[in-house]
Amino acid sequence: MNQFVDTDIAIIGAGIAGTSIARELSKYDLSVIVIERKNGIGLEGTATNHHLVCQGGDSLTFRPGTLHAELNIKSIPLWPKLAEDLNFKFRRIGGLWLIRDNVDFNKFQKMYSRAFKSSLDPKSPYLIPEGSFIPLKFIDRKELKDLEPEISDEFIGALYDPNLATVDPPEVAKAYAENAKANGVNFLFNTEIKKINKVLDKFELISDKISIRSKVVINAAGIEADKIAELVKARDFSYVPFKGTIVELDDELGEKIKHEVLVLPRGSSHMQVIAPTVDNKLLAGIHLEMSYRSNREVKDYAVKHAINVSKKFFPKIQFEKHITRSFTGFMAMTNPDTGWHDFVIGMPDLVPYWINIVLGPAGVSASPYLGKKVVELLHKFGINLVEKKNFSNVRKEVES
Amino acid sequence: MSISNGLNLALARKVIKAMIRFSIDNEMLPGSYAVTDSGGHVVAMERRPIALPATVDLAIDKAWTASVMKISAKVLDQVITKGQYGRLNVKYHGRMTLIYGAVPLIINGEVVGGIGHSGESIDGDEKIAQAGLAGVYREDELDAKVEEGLEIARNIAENVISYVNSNKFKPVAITINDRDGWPILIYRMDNTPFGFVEISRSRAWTASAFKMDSHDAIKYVGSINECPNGEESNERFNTTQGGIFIDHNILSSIGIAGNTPEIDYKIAVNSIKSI
Ligand SMILES: Cc1cc2nc3c(=O)[nH]c(=O)nc-3n(C[C@H](O)[C@H](O)[C@H](O)COP(=O)(O)OP(=O)(O)OC[C@H]3O[C@@H](n4cnc5c(N)ncnc54)[C@H](O)[C@@H]3O)c2cc1C
Repeated sequence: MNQFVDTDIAIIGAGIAGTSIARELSKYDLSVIVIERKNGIGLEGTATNHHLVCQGGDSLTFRPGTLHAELNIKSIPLWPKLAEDLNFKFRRIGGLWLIRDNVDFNKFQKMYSRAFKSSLDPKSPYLIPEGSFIPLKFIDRKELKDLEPEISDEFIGALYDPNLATVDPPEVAKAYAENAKANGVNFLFNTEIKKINKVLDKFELISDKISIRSKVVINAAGIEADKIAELVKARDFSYVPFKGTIVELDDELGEKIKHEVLVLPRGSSHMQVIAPTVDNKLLAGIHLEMSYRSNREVKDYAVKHAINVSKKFFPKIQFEKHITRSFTGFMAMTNPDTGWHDFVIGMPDLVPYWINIVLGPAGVSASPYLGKKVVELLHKFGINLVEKKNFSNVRKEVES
Repeated sequence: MSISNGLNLALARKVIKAMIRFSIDNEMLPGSYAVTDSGGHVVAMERRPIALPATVDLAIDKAWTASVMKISAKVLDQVITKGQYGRLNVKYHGRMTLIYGAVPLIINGEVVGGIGHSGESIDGDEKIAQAGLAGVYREDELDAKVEEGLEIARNIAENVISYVNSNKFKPVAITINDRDGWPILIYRMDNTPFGFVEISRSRAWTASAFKMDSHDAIKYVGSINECPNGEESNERFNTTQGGIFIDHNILSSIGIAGNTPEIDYKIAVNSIKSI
């Protein structure tokens, strides 16, 4: 016989989405349980990505009007304080978007100007508070060389975004989780939800050993969010899994390359980027393809892409000798045919009190504001949230 | 099934099932669901029997548009023609359909076909077509309980496919019509030349329209010139063998094409033995 537990809110998935939402909800008088099939925090999509926190230029180019843009921009001012409160590493690396010719220059100018109109304009709903954002600027070849001495002569300059940052996403997810736990959220590990029933006004989430009855369910199952939603006919969205392959390079190179370096791809849909991590390694890639989610194998051609990109930026460096590992990760891409991706944060009309979360690209970056958006949604649907008096916003100790 | 086999009938059926599942789960209006190849030719189309007849060709034409423009109608409308698609629309006798719900079928970064849905609002059509594209990348097969007429049509089509395969006939196109002469199902078996799709449709239409096998119709009608033939309005006369009339409460005909008319007729007759 299965053991039963009751809760106000159940969150499926302990990735960056589930943990950041749990932490936000732990500010309120509610019982919250996070259910994770693996034996730890952030072991899926949150562990297999490029670690970038779009602190400026990137988020300002996201399609205005989307949740993707809104959450990322609204998260910009929250990151530094969050890193301090939750005691995780937050490193500002800055981004160099390389310019080969006028085509790049004109494109960046266009992206840049739109970005400003949609964010720094006082009438914009996504105003970035003063002090949290340093304006981007164009730099010439000499300035570029000052910042990245070994960069190829092919590039005549760059658009420089001093804001861009990096974190270790699983560490951030752990920080969210530990703070949530300290404020009363329960975590169930090694618990895979396989079936869901609707019993009176509650959802019954069923795993092999335990059943959780909850009034509200937040589906934060990452790349599996579609299948989880289908269990209660709550999939009112679609996405295609994009498989990304990233190559990790050792800290010897991390001493040499200090910024994110990126170039706009031409005639290809694969990203061309290399960026340092908080522990001074480098991540290069990203070969991207639509794929079955089970197809996790690292392909030679995808590794080659990362190496070729790195060499294009820094022709004198022997990248092959510095590879520490290669890995693949999956992100959910909505509107994959148009590239007009957006997050899903919503309650299906037919399934009240069920909230679907689908992040996809830049989901880690958007996480500080994600929980607040969910709280907005809960309020909108008449769920009364009362703030706790004794919420503690700082992480006390780091679990081993 | 693997995506690397490219677009074939199995994949097209999987895409259609994913669309139907999405539309039923979300209680959307019933419609027609079409998948076309890189040239815009039908690989599979299914219509839920309770859906509007006219959605058949709207869905096919949307899929056709995504196939031959290699882009979704939404992008064509918003980015390329910026709302001024009237000029494009006069080409191809209005077949260019810049209405949402037309999405390219992408495999390995290449557009290998089109996905079309008609029957909902434009936003609903778009969501359903997107669900079809997402279905390509699901290793499990999504399914949903469909209306009896469509289920029987699928069974007949499966009978055709196994009969053709076990007898080593040439692969065929299959059309199954409702009692009003409108398709419920069109399948093109792998390696069937696309020209046979329209032949199977017109044989089926003729059997539906005259309530007799297609080759018998000429005896009653007299001259082929007497007969309606306007494909645009689903009136397509064909008196060769391969279209048979079936007296059923939902369905009325089967049209087979791909072999000699005699063999096509034999295949059609055999397909209904078990229903
Ligand atoms: C190649 C690549 C590069 C990226 N680069 C960046 C970047 O630089 N910056 C950025 O911000 N974002 C980036 N992203 C996106 C980012 O990784 C995602 O948005 C984010 O990790 C998604 O988090 P999540 O919590 O939604 O999913 P996940 O981290 O996958 O969490 C979902 C959790 O749900 C659990 N789960 C699933 N099914 C069940 C079940 N049935 N029962 C119980 N638990 C279940 C899983 O085990 C998993 O732990 C990148 C993504 C990829 C693929």
